[in-house]
Amino acid sequence: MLSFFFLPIAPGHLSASVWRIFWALTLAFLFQLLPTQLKSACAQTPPHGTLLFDPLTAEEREVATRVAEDNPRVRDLRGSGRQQLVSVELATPKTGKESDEGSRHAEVLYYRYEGNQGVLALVDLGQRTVREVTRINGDAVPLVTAEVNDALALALKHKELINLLGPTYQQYQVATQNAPETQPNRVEALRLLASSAKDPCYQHRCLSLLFRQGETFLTGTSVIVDLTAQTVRVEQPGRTSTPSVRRKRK
Amino acid sequence: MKSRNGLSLSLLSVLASLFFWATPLPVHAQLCSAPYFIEQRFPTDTSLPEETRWRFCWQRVSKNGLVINAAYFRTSPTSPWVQVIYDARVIELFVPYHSGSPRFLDMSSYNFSLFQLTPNHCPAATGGTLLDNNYVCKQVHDRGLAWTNYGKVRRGEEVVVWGGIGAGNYNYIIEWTFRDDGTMLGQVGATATNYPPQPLEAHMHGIYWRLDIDLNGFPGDSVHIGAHVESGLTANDLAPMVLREVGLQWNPLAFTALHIEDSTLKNAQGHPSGYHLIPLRTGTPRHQENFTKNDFWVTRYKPTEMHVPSLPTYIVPAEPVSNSDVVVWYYGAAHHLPRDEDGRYVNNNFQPLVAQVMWTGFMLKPHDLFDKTPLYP
Repeated sequence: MLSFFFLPIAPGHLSASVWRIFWALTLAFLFQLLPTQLKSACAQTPPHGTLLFDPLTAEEREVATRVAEDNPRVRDLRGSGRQQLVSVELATPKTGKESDEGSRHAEVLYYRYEGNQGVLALVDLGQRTVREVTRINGDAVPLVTAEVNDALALALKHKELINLLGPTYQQYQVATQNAPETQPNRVEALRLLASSAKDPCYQHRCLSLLFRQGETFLTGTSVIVDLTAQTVRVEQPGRTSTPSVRRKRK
Repeated sequence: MKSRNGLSLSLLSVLASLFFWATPLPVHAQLCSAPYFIEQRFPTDTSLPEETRWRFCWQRVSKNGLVINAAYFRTSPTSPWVQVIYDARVIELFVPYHSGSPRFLDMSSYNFSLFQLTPNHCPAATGGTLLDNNYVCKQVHDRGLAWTNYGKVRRGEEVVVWGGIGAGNYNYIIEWTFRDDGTMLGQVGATATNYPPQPLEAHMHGIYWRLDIDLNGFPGDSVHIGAHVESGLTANDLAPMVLREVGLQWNPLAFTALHIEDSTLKNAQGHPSGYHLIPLRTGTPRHQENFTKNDFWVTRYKPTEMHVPSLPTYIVPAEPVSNSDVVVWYYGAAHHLPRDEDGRYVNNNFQPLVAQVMWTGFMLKPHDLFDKTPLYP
């Protein structure tokens, strides 16, 4: 294709009229292509140097979040109650359309406590539009670090837990992923999902906090925080001491 | 005239490059940048003639850890690239404890991510290179004996990428292996420490992989159920096609495997080329939850179907999956019986300290992809 463009330039002896005809034909050909090709290129080509499976850039994350938050359908599904931005991730949906080749997308996921629901928006980063909005079961929406911090703050107000942790209880912090060994008093969290409607955690956002001092965990004790109900339960299944609320075993 | 030509040349170059810029990428083009792009030739010794080559992308994804995209294999330097994978990921870690509680869904319920590795995780002496600010280890190394026939011998090589998800008290090693003979492995290892509130309680580490296998591109793929059948002194091997979305069980007596083929892909012998999904497992985990009732699921590609507990609903109504864009889900498990070797006793209390790595996984093995053995000298 390139040789097709360059070939007529080489002979310097062509007359001006031949040149004019050549340019007219070439430009006509190119302008016929440009509306679709340029539109496609401008709309879909990712930021310079960013390929289909490259991670989202900080700018793309910001664009994705802004586009999702400005979308009326997303706003409607998120509602006005307590909610959480959970994640902004690269999405690479296959549509089978040639026009979608190489286009960049992001999935923006929110959680709303009311009704235990997630809202998932697929954002076309090139077009800066929301292509699809889906409501998903809240059980399929992961916890985020901000929620673990909230859970720890709630738990550290629980008298029985304070007694178990001792006078340094306020030193406990949520473990950071990259330097867990350097944090002497750290807390890790695991999500609890209840399958029985009788369980207080059923359809609630519950997690189990693991308190770790150096190499050792606080063993034999379960600390369960219900973020939906904003309650804390401290259980010691193998002991006779009375926990604030006994967790029913299945 | 000279200046006019010069201007014209620039204008044409810009217009021409715009035209090419907007042209869709060929299917085998590099679809990610370094360090997310890995291309490995075999043998790795560049003084020897090249035989085979893998190229693939990887990405770090919250929840799923290390995800493989756009994996292509080439059986010889003169052969075309064959797409194998569009997207392969661990999609769920289901950990039910024997007492009935807790029952963790570690991927869908928490945004666990990869933790940073050190050179001790990924020694250069084992062919290791740390990538992406030390979140991922790439190892290129000998994989042991590939073939021997008395005095003749062939050792194999592989490139492995892996990372570790920090999931509370547990770490999960997500590992992907690409071998010189076109085989690909997905494995997960569970390690770190036992669950502190119940450190001596047995439990299952159920691992789900979602494999969007796009052999030779995404349309035209079909799945067959490979099954071995004994009858008296004879035996037979069957491979009926999966016609509609379905959940399937692994039968150890049938050596159950899924055969994935593409209607347009044949080797030089005219045989349909494919990949066999072969479980690497020690048992079969079945629990109360409906999504644990099958070991394989075959679904039609839908980008929003990413939630394992919803698997039973994805196959109702059962849509056709022959000659289409299919997704294969595989479920395996590591059964963890806690032992004193997992920790130590202090004042009669067991402190969980070291749960050694327990692995489970699968193999994707090429079948009639090469025209002949790739190993004979």
